Amino acid sequence: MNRGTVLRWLAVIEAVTLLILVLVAVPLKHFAGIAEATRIVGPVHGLAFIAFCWAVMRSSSEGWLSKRDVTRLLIGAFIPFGGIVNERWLQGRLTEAKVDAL
Amino acid sequence: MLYDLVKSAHIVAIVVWFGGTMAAVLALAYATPEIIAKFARFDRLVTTPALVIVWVAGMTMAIWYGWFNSGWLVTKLVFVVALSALHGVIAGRLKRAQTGFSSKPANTLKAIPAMAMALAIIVTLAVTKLF
Repeated sequence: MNRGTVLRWLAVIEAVTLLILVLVAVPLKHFAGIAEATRIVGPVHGLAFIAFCWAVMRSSSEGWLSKRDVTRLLIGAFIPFGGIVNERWLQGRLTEAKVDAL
Repeated sequence: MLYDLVKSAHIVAIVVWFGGTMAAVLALAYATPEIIAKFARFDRLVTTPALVIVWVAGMTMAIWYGWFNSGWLVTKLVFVVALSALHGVIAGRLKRAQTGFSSKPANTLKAIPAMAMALAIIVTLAVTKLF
């Protein structure tokens, strides 16, 4: 598998589950009284978030993410759409790295 | 019964994951790059999936019993997240060591007492459910 593939996938999954939580599950709970929505989506997003943090730590100790990159990725994970922006940014960075390696 | 099965899976996965992580720490400190490559493979095929099982089984039980509101679980989660992150660091170092970057970061062994302490706190909290 190419470098960064797992991290990018997890960034997307983290971002999408956060969006589902904030845009679908939380409104369902507060406006439709369906508390099950957050009870299901909450832990799913929790798992995705943990997996993403794990992948960030791994990539960082593999040596291709700086402390600044780690901070950027972790802060982005808390902001809706932040994960999607960061995934694009990661892809750009990885393509650049490939060009550098040539 | 289902609870007991999930709990058993959780505990077995913890043993496998913890053992795998400790072995990897020792390998990083003492083994040659060729042996580290085998540990990296084991980490990918066994230790990391075990971590996933730990999390999924743990979360399942926490949801069933509504433990996310109890102090012991939240406290335990802090240490569990730290241990998981530490495993991420170890997994990255394993990968890095076999691709020929600087292979022996001096402080890897320091992870062992920290891991043992975190494990002791986590198990005590989970068993006693003190608060």
